[in-house]
Amino acid sequence: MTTFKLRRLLLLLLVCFGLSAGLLAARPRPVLAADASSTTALQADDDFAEFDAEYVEVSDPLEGFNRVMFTFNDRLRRWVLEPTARVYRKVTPSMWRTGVANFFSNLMEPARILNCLFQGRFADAGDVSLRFLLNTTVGVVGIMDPASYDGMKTHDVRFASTLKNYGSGSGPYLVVPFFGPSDVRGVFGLVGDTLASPPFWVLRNNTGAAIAVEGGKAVNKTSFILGEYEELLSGTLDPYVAVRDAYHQHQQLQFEQ
Amino acid sequence: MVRFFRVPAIFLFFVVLSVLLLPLSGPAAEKNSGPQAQLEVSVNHFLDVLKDPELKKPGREEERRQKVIKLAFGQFDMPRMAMLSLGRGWKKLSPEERREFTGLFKELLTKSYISMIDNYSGEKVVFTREEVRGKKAEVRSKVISSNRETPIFYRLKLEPDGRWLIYDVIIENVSLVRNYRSQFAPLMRKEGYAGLRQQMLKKIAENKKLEDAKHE
Repeated sequence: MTTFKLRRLLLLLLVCFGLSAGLLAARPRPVLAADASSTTALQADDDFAEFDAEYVEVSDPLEGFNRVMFTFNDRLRRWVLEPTARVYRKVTPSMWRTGVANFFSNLMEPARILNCLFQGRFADAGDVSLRFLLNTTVGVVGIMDPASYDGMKTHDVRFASTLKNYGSGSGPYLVVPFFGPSDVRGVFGLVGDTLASPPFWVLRNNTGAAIAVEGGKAVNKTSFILGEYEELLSGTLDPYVAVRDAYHQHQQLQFEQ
Repeated sequence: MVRFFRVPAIFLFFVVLSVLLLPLSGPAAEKNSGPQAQLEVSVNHFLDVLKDPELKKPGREEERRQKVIKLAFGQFDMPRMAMLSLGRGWKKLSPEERREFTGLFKELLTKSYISMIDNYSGEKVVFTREEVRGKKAEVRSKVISSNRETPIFYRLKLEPDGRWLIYDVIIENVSLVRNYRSQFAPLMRKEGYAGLRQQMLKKIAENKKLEDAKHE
């Protein structure tokens, strides 16, 4: 009995993260200030030195598995997610879709608050808490985002960055089914974020509903970025490598800030 | 984790931005100005063409694309981008091969541009910072659409004639040159230039097929 429950829990977890992030390409989310300085790069004198300094070939010991998962996610996205989102977009007003996106984003705020606290970023935790309060009340359970009109931006601090903060390495690159590019630390981060999110606790005994919710969330997200995935990859020679590199570049700067 | 996924969007934007840069054909006086000022002129010109209602009329899609691409690519130092994307292997190529590779590289890029041109929906561009170090510069910008902001940075190099040309575009922290390099490097190592060339030709043909299918 216990094993069964545990398995269900694991499945649920997987689905939770999974769908939420990976499938959707971009999220209509606040952009974090990108501010890593490139002064050193500009100072490099040799033409190639500028990029040699920044260019590191990443290790990918699980490449075989990752490529299979990448293909799985790729097909899922092209054949299921995008077509569904295309229809969904046709039949829903943009206000509805924005509301849904806001609603789900608002539900992630508690996790952001916790992670701000874990990292000792108390002022940021305060900002996000205020946002959460305002949007949950005045914004009608987060469907609207009045806080943003007041210039209150969220701090998208996740559990993965908390782990990094406490000294955890990233572990090998990992493409997670349904979720997309990540690494071992990222998977633990997802688990942490999920455990801190209300939908998980509400739906934990109802796998079917959880899958439906995550699927809906994914479709909604995708409806904002229809076609972008395909367009991006059409300019690449090896989509798997291109995505892996983009992931690493993004991680690198993200964490350097 | 998901953040990297924003790249696609960004990519489009970058495309937009870069495109913005186009108009070297503009006033010669601009050539003595700094990288950001030059970029702003190009971007505005580029946006004007994108917004031009005349060019949006049915039947003129191809003309619009060509016009915008020409404008955008005029701002890029294509051989330099191709060279940096290939890495040190470039040194082993003959002048002929270099020319050919630059052409193939440009075609790969073009595909991304076309998507962005066809999808332009009123995004605005704001410049946020300029950093000049001798003959190199980095100009930062943001592409603003109704529901998101995408940071796009340009790296530029000063030409002897006073123009600043773009040699890398960094969209949401992801360098285009670096990204291409990660794809080219393993191919070059395993199969050499001949193999890389083969793969590029294949991809370009695939894209062309998709494009044709769309128009039928």
